[in-house]
Amino acid sequence: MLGILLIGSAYAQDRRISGRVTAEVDGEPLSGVSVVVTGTTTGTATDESGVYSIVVPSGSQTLTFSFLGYTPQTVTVGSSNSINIALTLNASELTEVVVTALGIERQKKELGYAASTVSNRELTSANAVNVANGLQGKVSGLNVTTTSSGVFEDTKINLRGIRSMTGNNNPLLVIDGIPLDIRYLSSLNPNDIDDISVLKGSSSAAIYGPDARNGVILVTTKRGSEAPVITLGHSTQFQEVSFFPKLQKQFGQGYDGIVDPVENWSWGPAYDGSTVDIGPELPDGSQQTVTYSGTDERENVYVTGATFQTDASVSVKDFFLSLQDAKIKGIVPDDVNRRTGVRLNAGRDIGIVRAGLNVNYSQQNYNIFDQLGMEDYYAAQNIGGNDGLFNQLINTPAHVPLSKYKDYKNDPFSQYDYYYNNYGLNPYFSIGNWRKNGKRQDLITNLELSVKPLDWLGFTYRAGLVSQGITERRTSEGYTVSEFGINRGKTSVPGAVEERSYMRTRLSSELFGNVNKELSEDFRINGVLGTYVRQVDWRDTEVGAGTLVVPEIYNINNRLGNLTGSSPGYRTRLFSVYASAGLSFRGWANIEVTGRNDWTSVLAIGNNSYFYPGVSGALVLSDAIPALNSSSVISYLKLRGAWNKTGNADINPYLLAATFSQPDYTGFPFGNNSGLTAGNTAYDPNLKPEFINSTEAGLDISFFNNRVNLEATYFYQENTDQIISINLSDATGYGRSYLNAASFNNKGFELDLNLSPLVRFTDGAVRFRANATYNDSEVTSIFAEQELNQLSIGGYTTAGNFAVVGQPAFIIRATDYLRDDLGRIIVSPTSGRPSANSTLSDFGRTMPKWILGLNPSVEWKGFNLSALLEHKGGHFASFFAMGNDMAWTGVSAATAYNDREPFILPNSVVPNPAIDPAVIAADPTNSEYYIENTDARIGANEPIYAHYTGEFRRAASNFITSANTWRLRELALSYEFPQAWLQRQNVLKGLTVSLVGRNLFLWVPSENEFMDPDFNSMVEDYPNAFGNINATSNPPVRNYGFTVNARF
Amino acid sequence: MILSLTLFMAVSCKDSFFDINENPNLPTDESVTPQLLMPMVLNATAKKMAIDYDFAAFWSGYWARGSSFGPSHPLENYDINSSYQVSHWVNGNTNDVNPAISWYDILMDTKTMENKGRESGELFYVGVAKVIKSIGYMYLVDMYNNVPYSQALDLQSYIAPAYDKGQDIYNDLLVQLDSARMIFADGNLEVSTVAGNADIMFGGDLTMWRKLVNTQALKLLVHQSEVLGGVPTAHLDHIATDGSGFIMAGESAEVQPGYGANEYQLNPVYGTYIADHNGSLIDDFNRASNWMLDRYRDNNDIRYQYVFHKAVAPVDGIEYQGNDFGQENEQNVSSSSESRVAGPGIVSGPTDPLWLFTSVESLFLQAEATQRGWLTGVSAESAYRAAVRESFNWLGVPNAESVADTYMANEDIANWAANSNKIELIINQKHLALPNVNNFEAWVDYRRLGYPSDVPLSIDASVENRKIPLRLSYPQNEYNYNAANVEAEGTINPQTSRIFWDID
Repeated sequence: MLGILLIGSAYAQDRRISGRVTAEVDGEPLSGVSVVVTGTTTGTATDESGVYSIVVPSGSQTLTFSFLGYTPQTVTVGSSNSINIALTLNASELTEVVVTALGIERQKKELGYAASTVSNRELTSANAVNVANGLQGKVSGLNVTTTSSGVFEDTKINLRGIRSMTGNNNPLLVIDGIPLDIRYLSSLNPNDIDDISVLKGSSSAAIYGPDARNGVILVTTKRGSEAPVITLGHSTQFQEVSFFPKLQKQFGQGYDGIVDPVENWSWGPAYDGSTVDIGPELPDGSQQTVTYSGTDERENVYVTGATFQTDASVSVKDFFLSLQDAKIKGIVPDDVNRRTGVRLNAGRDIGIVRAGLNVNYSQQNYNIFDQLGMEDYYAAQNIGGNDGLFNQLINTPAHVPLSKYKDYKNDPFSQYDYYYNNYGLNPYFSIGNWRKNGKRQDLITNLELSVKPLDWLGFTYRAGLVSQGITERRTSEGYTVSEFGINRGKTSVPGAVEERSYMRTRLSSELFGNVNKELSEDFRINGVLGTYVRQVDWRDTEVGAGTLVVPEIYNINNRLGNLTGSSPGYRTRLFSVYASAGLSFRGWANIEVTGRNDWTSVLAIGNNSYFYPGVSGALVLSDAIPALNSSSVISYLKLRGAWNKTGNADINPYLLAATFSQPDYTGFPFGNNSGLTAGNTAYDPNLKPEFINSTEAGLDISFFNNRVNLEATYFYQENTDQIISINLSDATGYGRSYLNAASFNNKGFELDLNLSPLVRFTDGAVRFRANATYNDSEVTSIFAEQELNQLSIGGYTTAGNFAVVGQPAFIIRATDYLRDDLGRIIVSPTSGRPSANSTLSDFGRTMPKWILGLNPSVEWKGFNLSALLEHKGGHFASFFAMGNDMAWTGVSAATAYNDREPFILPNSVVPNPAIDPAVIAADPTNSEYYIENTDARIGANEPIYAHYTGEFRRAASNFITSANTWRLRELALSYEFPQAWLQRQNVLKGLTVSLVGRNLFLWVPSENEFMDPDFNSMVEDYPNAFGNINATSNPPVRNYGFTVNARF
Repeated sequence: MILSLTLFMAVSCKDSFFDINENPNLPTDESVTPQLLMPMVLNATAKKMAIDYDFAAFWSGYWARGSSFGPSHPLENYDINSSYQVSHWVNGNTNDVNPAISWYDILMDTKTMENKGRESGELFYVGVAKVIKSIGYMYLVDMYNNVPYSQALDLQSYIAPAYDKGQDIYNDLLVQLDSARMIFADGNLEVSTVAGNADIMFGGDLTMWRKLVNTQALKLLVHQSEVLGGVPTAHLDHIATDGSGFIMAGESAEVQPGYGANEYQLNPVYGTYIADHNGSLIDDFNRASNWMLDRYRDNNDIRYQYVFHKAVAPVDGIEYQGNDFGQENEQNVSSSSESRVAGPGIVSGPTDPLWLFTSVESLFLQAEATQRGWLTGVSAESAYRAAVRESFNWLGVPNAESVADTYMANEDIANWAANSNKIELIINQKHLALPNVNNFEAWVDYRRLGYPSDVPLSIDASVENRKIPLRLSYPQNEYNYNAANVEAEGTINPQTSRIFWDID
C-alpha cells in the first residue's frame, strides 16, 4: 500500500537527483557512501566512481550523506537535479587503510614506517601505457627514470637512493601478494590496478625477504564489485621527439676547405647556398646534387609514434575480468609492438574458507629495428662511432637530405652501393635490413587458500607461478655489393638469422598464520608466523647462422659455416622463516618487532644462512593527548620510527668460482682442438651476505580539518660488506672481481605535502600536492685490506663512475685538460693546443640530490585540469661517448665555436720561455712557470679539426655537465559528463573524456647541449653506473592524445 | 600447527636443498686440464704477434693509411696518450667482432697451464708455458719498459700489483728459458699423445721446442745488444751446451689449430687484412707506403709483389700503388686503388698455418749475433746471406736463392762488401724482410739501433716536432685501477722515456 502510494506520488512530483561524492582530502571519488533522504529509509549508495542517483519524494528537502571515517553532511535539495559533494575526514575516526606486507590491511596510523598509496585514478590520470611512468613524480623518495623511448618504454625505479653499489637497487614488486621482479610492472594493465602502496623503507623486508630491502611496490588488482559494472575505454596517444642535441648548421661535408661529397665529416667550408654534389657519380653518369645549406633533416627520420589502446572490463561480485589491447607504433620507422592482455581475478567464500585465483596473461608481439645487428656490422667494418641509429643520424652533415632516402631498394641514390657516404649506411637501409621480431609472453598466477577458524586467527596458503617466455628472431636481409660498391670500399652484408628462446619460471609457496586479537579494551595484539620457499629457473638459448645460402630463407639450416650459439641455464633456491609481533595500546600507541632467517643457494654452505631483525613504532599524539584531540588547528599528529637490519645476497648463481670458456671470437673449437681461456672475472668462494642497517623517523601531521597534510621522514642507512664487482688492473689476470669490499651510508629526508583543497569556489576547488626528496650518501670504506680508497663501478675508461672514500656514491671521474695548480689550461706555445691528463679528475655526484614533484590541479563542475612538474638536481652527467663522436665528425654546436676561426683557448697559459724546460718538467703544474697565453692560437698553423678530433675528444670534461632538469611530466584535462545528461537512458552510467600530455617539456641548463640526462643506456651493462649517456638509445619523446572511458 | 610445519620444512631443507650452485654452463678450475688450455695459448700468442702491431708497421715505414680514410691520430702525429694501443695490456671489448686479447690475458692462461702441468706432473706443459711467458713479457717490456711481473697474475695476494724494472724482467725471462730448456732436454720427459695433439705448433717435438727456446733466448740477448757491455757468454754457453741450435731455414714455428673458412676460424692474417669468412674483402685502412714500395722497386727487389697485394681497382693500370704516411685527405681517391698489406707471400689463403717465430727472423738474429762475435761456426757474411735468401724463400719467390743472390750481388742496399757498417746492413735487410711478418720487431730494432736511418716520419700537419715514439703510454685503466703503482713510475713521455735497452 505504501509502495503504491510512493509510486503514485512519484508520478506526481518525485524528482531524480544525482551527483558524485568525493573525499575532500584528495578529490578521490568515494564509493559506498550512504545517501539517504533525510528522515526516511529511502536511500542508495554511491558506486565505484562515487556516483549516485536517487529519487527524492516531493516534500523532502534534504539528503544525508554518510560514510565511515567521514563527517556526515546534510544537503538541502534546491532547484538543481545534480548535487556533488565532498566529504571531510573525521579526524578522530581517521582510519585510512594501507595494504601492507602479505596483503594484510593495516590502519595507516599504526605503521612505524613510511607508506604512500597511489590510487588508480592518480595512476591513470595521464594514461601512461606503462605503470611505472604513471607513478613518476607522485611519491616522495621515488625516482623513476625513463631510459629509452622505444616501443617498450624502459624504465628504472629507485626508492630512497641506493643500497647496493653494483648490485640490484630495484624495489620489489608484489602483485596480489606474489613477489616479482620489478620489470613485471610494465606487463600490467594500468586500468586493472585498484591501488598501489609504496612501502619505502626496508621494514617490510622482514616479511618479504631480502628483495624488499629496496622498498616494496605493492599492487592490488581489482577484485570485483558489488554491483555489476562494465567499462570500456579507448586511448589514442602520439609520440614525437622532444629533445635533440645542439648541432651546428654552419659548416658542411668535407675538410680543409673542400666539400667532399662522400665524407662523413662536417669539417668542410661554411654553407653558402650553392649547389654541390653529394655522393659519387653513379655508373650511369647520374650525380646527386643538393643545396649547400644546413637543414633539420637529421630530426626528420624519426616519425610520429602512436599508441592505440583499448580496454574492457567486467566486474561483478568476486569476479573481475579485463582485456586490453595496445598497438604501439614507435618513433623509429616500422617499429611496432602489440600488447594484448587478459586478467581474471576470482574468489569465493565457502564458510570460513576463502579460495581465490588471479591470472594475468599478456602477450607482446613486436617487430622492431635490430640495432645490435647494425652495430655488429659496423664493428666488423672497424668503423667506430656509429653505434646506434640516433648516433648515426646526428653525425650526418646538415645539408644531407636524409629523409629522401626511404626507398633504399629502388631509388639509386638510396641504395647501399650508391649511398652518398663512403663509410656510413643509409639509415633506412639499416632499419629495413636488420629486424628483430619477437613474442614475449608473461603469465602471472596465484592461488590463495585461506581459512579463518576464529575471528582473530587466520591461515593463508599461497602458491605462485610466474613465467616469462620470449621467442625472438633477429634477421638480416643481406645485400650483395656490386663492383662499383667494392671499389668504394663497401662490402656485402650477409643474410643472417638468430633464434632466441628464453624461459624463466618462478615457483613460490608460502604459508603463514596471522593473529589479530583484542586482549582487553586497551590492548590488541597482532602477529604473523610464516615460511616461504621459492625456486627460480631460467634458460636462455640462442642459435644463429651468420651467413645464409639463399637470402631471406630464415632457417638456420640454410647456412654457410658453423652454427653459433649457447644455452646456459640457471637455478636458485631460497627458503625463509619469518615472524612479526605487534602490540597496540588504545589504537594510538603501536609497536612491532620482526625477524627473518633466510637460506640461499647462491652462497656457499656455511655462509648461506642469515638472520635479520627489526622494530618499529608509531604514536598518534592527536589521539593520545586530549588537548590535541580537541584542537581546531591540528587535526592529526603522528610520530613514527623504525629500525631494522636486512641481509641479502642478491647475486646470480655460480658467482663463487671463476670459469673457463671458448668464446666465439677465439675461433675455438677448431674441429677436435678445444681451447679454453679463463674468464675475465675473478670470484671469491667465501662471499658473505651484505647487510643494511636502516633507521627512519617520521612525522605525519594534518591541520585545519585535514585540509593541510604533511608527511616527513628522515632516513639513514648503513650498508656494509657490499658485494661489489670492481674493475681491476689487468695485470692481475682479471678485469673484474666480485668481493665483499665496500661500505657506504645513504641518508636523506622525504616530504609529502597535500593541500586539499587549497582554494574552494563554487562547484570547484584548487588542490595542490608536492613531494620532495633530499638524498645524500658517502662511501666510508673500500676494500680496507688492500688500502684501496677508490674503485671503478663502470662506464667509460675516460669518464666513468667511481666510488671514492669520503665522496658520495657515486661520482664521475674523467679526463680533463692538463692544468697548472691554479686550474689554468697548459697549452703548447706553438700550436696553442692543450693536452689531456691521464690522471682523472672528479666531476661530482651522479645521483640526484633533490627530487621535487609538484602536482597542482583545478576542478570545476565536471572538469579537472592537473599538471605534474618534476625536478631533479644537484648531480652531473657525462655525455662522453656522444659528445666525443660529435666532435669527431664536427656536427656538434661546440665545434663551430668562434666560427671555426683560430682562437686562443680561454684561461690558457704557456710555459714561460725564460725558464729551463727541465725545471718545468720536474714540477709541471707549478703555476709560477707559466705565463698567460696571449698569442698561441688553436688552428693558426693547422686545420682546426686537429684540436676537436684530438685532445678535445680525449678530455671528457668537455662532455660533462650538470644533470639538472625540470620537466612537465603530465598535463591532463578531463571532463566527466554530468549525470543529468546520462539520465535519459539506462545503459551508459558514466562517461569521461580527457586530453592528456606526458613529458611535454624538458628544461636543461644551457651548458647541456647533449641529451636528457635520464636516458641512461649504459645501465644494462653497469647497473649502477648512472649518468653515462651515449647515443645508442632514441631521443626522448613527448606524448599527447585523448582518452574516452565509459561505464555501463 | 604452523610452528610444527615450519620446523618440518626447515629440517627437510637441509644443505642438499641448497647445494645446487655448481656451474652447469661453464667449466671451473677443477675440471680444466692443461691440454685444454695449450691450443688457446699457442694460437692466441701467434695471432697477437701477427695482427696486433699495425701501429709499428706504420711507424717503421711499411704502411700508410688508405685514401678512403681521414687522418688518424695519434697514429699519424705520434702524440701518444694513455688511450692508445691499450689492448696489449687490457683486453679489447669482448662484444666486438674480433676483440684483441691482451698479453696479460694470454699470460694468465699460460700461468694456469703451467700450474696444472706442475700439479699433474706433466712438465711438458710447464716448459711450453715458460717459453710463452718469455715471449709475452718481452713484448710488454719492449712497449712499456717497467711492468708488473713478480706481483702480476696473483690476485689473491696482489689486487694492485707493483711494477718491476724492465731489465730485471728480461733477466728472469732468460732464467725461465733455462728451465724450459732443462725440461725439454730431460730424457725422461714424457709427452703424452694427448699433449702431443694439443701442441698445435710442434706436435710434441721436443727438439723443435729446444730450438725455439734457444732462438727466443738469442732474441732477448740481441734486444739488449746496446746495454750488455760485452758478450753474454754465460747465456750463449747454455745455448751451445743444449746443442739443438736455432730455428733454421724452413723450420718456422707455426701454429695450425685447423684454420678454415668459418667465421673466426680463418687464418688471422688472412681474416684481418684480406677477406672475411664470406669472402668479402676487408681492411680499407692499411695500405703499402710509397717509401717501402720504392725501397723494393728502386733496387730491383721483386719482394714487393709478395709482401703487398695488387690494388683491387687499379687506376691508370698502376697495380702497386702506395701512400705517404700521414698524408692529407685526398679527394676522389679510394683505398681500392692502393696496395693491400698482406701480399701472396705473406698469406695465400684462409687455411694457411700461422707463424709464431719465423725462420727468417731467426736467421737475421743469428746474422747479427755472428757479426757481433757472439756466435761462431759460420762467417757473418754467410749468416747474412742465408738470412736474405730465406726471406725470398719464405715469401715464395720462384728460384728464390738465385734471385736473392743476384739481388745481393748487384744492389748496394744488399751487398755485403759495399756496406762498411755490417750491423746496419743486416738490420736494413731484416727490415725489408719483416713487413707484416713481424712489424713489432722492426720498431724494436729502430729504437735499439736507429736503423734504417731513413725511415720517413709522418707528414701529418699536426706532428709538430715529434719523432717516432720510443714507447707506449701506460693504459688509462692502470691510472684508474692501479693508480698508486703506475703513478710511482713518474710522468711518462713517449717522446723521451726509453725502454732500458734503448740508450740513445
